[in-house]
Amino acid sequence: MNAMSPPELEAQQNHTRLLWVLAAMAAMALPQALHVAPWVMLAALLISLWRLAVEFQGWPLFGGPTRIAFGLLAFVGVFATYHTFNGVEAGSSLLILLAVLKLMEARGLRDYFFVLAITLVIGIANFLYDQTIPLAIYMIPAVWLAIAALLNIAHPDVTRSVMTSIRVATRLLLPALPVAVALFLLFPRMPGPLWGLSTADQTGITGLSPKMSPDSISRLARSDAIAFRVQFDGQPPTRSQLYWRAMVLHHFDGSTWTRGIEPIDNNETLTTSGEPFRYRITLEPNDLHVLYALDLPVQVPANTLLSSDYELTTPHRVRERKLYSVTSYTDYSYGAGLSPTMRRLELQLPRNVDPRARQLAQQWAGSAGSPAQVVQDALRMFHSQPFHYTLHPDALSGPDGIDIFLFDTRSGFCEHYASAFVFLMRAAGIPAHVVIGYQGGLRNPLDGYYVIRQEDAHAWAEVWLANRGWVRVDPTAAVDPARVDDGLSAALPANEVPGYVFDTHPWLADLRNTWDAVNNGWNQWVLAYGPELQQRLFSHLGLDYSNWLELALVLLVVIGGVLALVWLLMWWRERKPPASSVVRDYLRYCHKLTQAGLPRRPSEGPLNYAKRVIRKRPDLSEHVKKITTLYIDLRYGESGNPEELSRLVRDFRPQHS
Amino acid sequence: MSNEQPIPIRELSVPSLVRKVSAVIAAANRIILGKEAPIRLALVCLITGGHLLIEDIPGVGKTTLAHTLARLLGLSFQRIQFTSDLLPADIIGASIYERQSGEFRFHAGPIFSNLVLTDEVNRATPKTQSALLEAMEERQITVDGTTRPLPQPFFVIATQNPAHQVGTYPLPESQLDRFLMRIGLGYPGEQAERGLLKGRDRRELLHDVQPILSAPELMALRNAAFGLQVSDALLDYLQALVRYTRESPRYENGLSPRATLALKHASQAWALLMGRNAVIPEDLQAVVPGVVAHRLRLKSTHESSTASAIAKELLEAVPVP
Amino acid sequence: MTAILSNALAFIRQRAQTWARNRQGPDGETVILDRRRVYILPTRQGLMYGSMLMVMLLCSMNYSNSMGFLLTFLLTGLGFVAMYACHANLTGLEIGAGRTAAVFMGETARFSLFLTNAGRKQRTAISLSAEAGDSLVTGDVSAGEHGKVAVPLAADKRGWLKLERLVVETSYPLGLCRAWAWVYMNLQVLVYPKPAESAPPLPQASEGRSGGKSVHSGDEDFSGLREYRAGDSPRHIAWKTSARAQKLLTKQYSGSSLEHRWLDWDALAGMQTEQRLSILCRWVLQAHAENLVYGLRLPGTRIEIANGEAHRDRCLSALALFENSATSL
Repeated sequence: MNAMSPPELEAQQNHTRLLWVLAAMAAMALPQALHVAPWVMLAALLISLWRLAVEFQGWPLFGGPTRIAFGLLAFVGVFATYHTFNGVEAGSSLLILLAVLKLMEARGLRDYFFVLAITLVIGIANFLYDQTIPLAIYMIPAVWLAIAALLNIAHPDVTRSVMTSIRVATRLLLPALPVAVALFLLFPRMPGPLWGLSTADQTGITGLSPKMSPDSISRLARSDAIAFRVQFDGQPPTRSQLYWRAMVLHHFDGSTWTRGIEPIDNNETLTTSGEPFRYRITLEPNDLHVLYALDLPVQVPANTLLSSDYELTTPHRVRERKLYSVTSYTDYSYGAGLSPTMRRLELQLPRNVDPRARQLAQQWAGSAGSPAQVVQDALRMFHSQPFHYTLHPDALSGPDGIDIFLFDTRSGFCEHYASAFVFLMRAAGIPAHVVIGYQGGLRNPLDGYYVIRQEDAHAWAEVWLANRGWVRVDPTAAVDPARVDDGLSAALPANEVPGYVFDTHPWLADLRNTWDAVNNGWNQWVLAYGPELQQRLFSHLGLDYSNWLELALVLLVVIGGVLALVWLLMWWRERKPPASSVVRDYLRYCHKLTQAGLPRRPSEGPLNYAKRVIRKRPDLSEHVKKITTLYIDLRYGESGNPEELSRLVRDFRPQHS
Repeated sequence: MSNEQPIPIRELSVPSLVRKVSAVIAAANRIILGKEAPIRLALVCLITGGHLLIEDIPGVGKTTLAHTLARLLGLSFQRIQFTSDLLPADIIGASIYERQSGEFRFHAGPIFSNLVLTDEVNRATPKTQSALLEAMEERQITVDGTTRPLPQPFFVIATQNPAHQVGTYPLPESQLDRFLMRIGLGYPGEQAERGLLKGRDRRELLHDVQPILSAPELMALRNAAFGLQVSDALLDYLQALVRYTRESPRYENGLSPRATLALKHASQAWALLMGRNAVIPEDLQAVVPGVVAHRLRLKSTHESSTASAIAKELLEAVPVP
Repeated sequence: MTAILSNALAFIRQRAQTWARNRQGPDGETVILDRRRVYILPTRQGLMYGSMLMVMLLCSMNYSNSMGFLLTFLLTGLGFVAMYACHANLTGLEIGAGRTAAVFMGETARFSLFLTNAGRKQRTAISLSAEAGDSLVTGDVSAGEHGKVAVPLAADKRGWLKLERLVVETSYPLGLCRAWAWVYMNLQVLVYPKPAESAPPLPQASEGRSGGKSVHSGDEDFSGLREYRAGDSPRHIAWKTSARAQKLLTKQYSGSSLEHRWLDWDALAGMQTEQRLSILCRWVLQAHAENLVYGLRLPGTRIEIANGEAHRDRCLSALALFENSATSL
């Protein structure tokens, strides 16, 4: 035991605190380096190094005004970088900067504790960027370190080794795990955000956007990020049927297709034939109001809406992984009756662009007997003339981009073909629009899930034919059928196959499949655990999800139970060391005599006790003598047979006299 | 307590020795009537090789007990009556200048014998007391730069009157610690006193006492006692007792390590006399009054508790583990 | 506003202490802190931690972030575990009263206490203090260990200084909550008066027992040699030196045993009570330091001449408790 000798001790303690909090901060903020502006990390690093120099080299601390100036600078810098304080990057940047600045004036326990609390919040911000398994694995030691740091901040002890700190942190974290799991499963989850998220929050998401310009899809195709996963109930469709519909684009401004005015036409004429496909989709966040579904969705989940374009829309942007079930028919026709308004909309073209294309289309319209013939003409052109399918098309963003594509460069990605095709159709007087979504998908043999990646992003066309309604036409297939049948890597020239495509090496493919399956499990069961899954779990357990009172009660009881169990376990581990069997037996003997009204006085030796007992109860004399003699031999002479004592004590029944 | 010469154990079997001790106790008990417990404690003290302090009011037989023990043990024996003008040299001896030879010669004092009975030790000045007590501790005497060993075995049996009598110099605690035991005799019981009244004069009886135990036999007993097993369980109890005295606010001072050792040895000797082959808590409890009481000073000075009360309180406060 | 708040807090604390005192009753010489008497509340850091958890929870809910939830709940669980660990760090601890040395007024009394850990886990960062917020001692007691601590308490009045309430507390491991126990042992220590900085010289010695002749030279300590005079005791002749010096020399002793002084209250007439006590205290210390034999006379009290530590303590106690009606042992 040591008495406090305040100033030096305090300084020593703060030294320990500083080192630990810096270590925890470094570990927690490191993943942020991938997301926040580099200057933020650099500034944080420099200020931390300065603080270390203060500690070890005797550099001066920042004065009050300097600190305030730095603080203001941090705010200004963050605002200049992100134009907002709302949003994960801006918030994280501010937290990081403020935490290191706080270190410049940290005086004791409370300040360091505050910095560590900020550090933990920075830790949670890591997960707002991504929640992948690698990050989760990285965060385990980071959290561990942070808890060890918390211990050392609360109770700095120079003599405590790092290993001891880690050990104490482990002893605290392990029992916390079941509590965490119970809370994770049972704590009521609410759908949707509590406050508006800034658009800056979504910069991390790659995926379709509700418009299509030259380049937009080919850029996506360079990413192997997963867009969604599908699990079919029963027989899956063939690969060429795997058109995943996302959005329909109606309006063309000369270079970019957008959704335009939402069509209000609603004379539903859907006919389907063939077998329906039922499946469940795990959608990665896409920050859209749109869910993806196999062309053409018919039965859709609650809370979603099927537009007249058969876009599957949802009231909230999809910002977390979402699980939903859909039924689709791949054999269908819809929109047989097209209103004049809709017809005008579907024939819209900007004036005075791409004259050569218009001329070609009008020429086809004149010569062909039917709109279907015009479609065939266009497809034949793509097929027979030297069009190339490439991931790196020439820039076509200027005016008359379609003319240049059709007559000069003749190489492009699906968006070019779809765009040019719809342009031609509309110019020929046939209602048409662009559909964007995904095409294809790879089945993971390990878990049977289809994985659709951003590289599968695709654009195709639908044309309206009288009597048939809207018909899907994929001009890309006309150029390069392999795109539809075998996927992107087969369709592209060998030198354009992106490096991430593993499929060339079988064992790499296996590895990728395994990794995908693990990831999928992670997504399905951990990350996607939200209101829906919780509801399923509760109904599985026979709980009424809508009965909040009951739910709260169950929650309290279960979590209380888990806590009690954890505490019991901890108590069990820490209880007094058990006595030797000899002592236990003797205590049992004393207990029996106590019950017979002859308790042993604490200061009484075994022999005196025996004498007293025999005086009071001569009938027990023989037994008591035997036990006492044996006990004395065992305990003080350290000889004899302990089992004999156990037996004697067991047979000792002083109550029946 | 070092034994320079190995003791011939030959015919000295331990049980027979223990029987002899019983005979000593019986013999002593015939002279000092009804005081078996103090006699036994005194013997334990001597077997352990420690010095004995007998404290009680005058006339209860302190000196008689000391005499009896000396005679029964057949040791060379000197008696010193302490007075206020007794000087250290009167005990340990002095170098006297001899005119004939023109040199100093050492004249050994009465302390050079196996058993020294110092009567009324608290009547002498502290200086003289400390000379005696130093000799007790060192078992040798240094005069004028020459060290002279005292005979082996060497015991001091001191008697003293209770401290608060006029004209006494109470022994300081540091000195008291050198006595292994302090025992009191107390008034004799009714029956014993009647026996005293009816019987012959004690001093006369004393003359008839024949030695029963010899010095080597005493040494053999000591060896046997120190060979007795002391289990960890007992040491736990011993340490708990000692710790309590060191920590409890009831006492001014705790037991010294010397006292701890004394407790262990004395309880071993007690266990030997009880015919046990291991020491049990009862043995320890039996020697606590003798060993502990004079080493503890109670905090609240106005309660002058008796030795047995102090021991009882201590034993009650510490549970047997 | 803050004044009202702190007043309210003080009131609550007062009530809680009264309640605990009535509930627990007085404690004996040793106390085992059982579960029922260890109280626990979050510290300021704990509240901060709670707010941090709230922020994290809101963040996780807003972004529907599963890993965020998991981390938040892990830290929540950690809070609960830390709370238990904090409580368990204290429960089962055995506290025994130790001996406390008397002090002089103005010094700091150190109440010694013994902590025994019968459990199998180390108890870390246990603090003891006379009152929450007072200066405290902190330390660890490893499993099975038995350690001594001294709780400081300023002695600013002579007489008995009582440690009414001992606070045993800990915020280990994470400092999020503070577990404490109030122990009401009858701990007290005597506070002697403050020895005067400057005091009049010691009173003159009174006549010794053996007559005036040897007042200043007792038999105790050798102080030098002088030439033999008729009547000197032959025992005091320094034979060896005499042999060398070819004349008889007598050893001279300066002693104390035969010289005694009375430290008298009445000798200090005309002073304040405390000042008198203070001077007497100084005298006692001085007399003891010089190994003199002395006695103390106070109105109503008289301590016979003697010397030694016990005697000094007796004198100082008398001074400490002089006219101190609230004395009890």
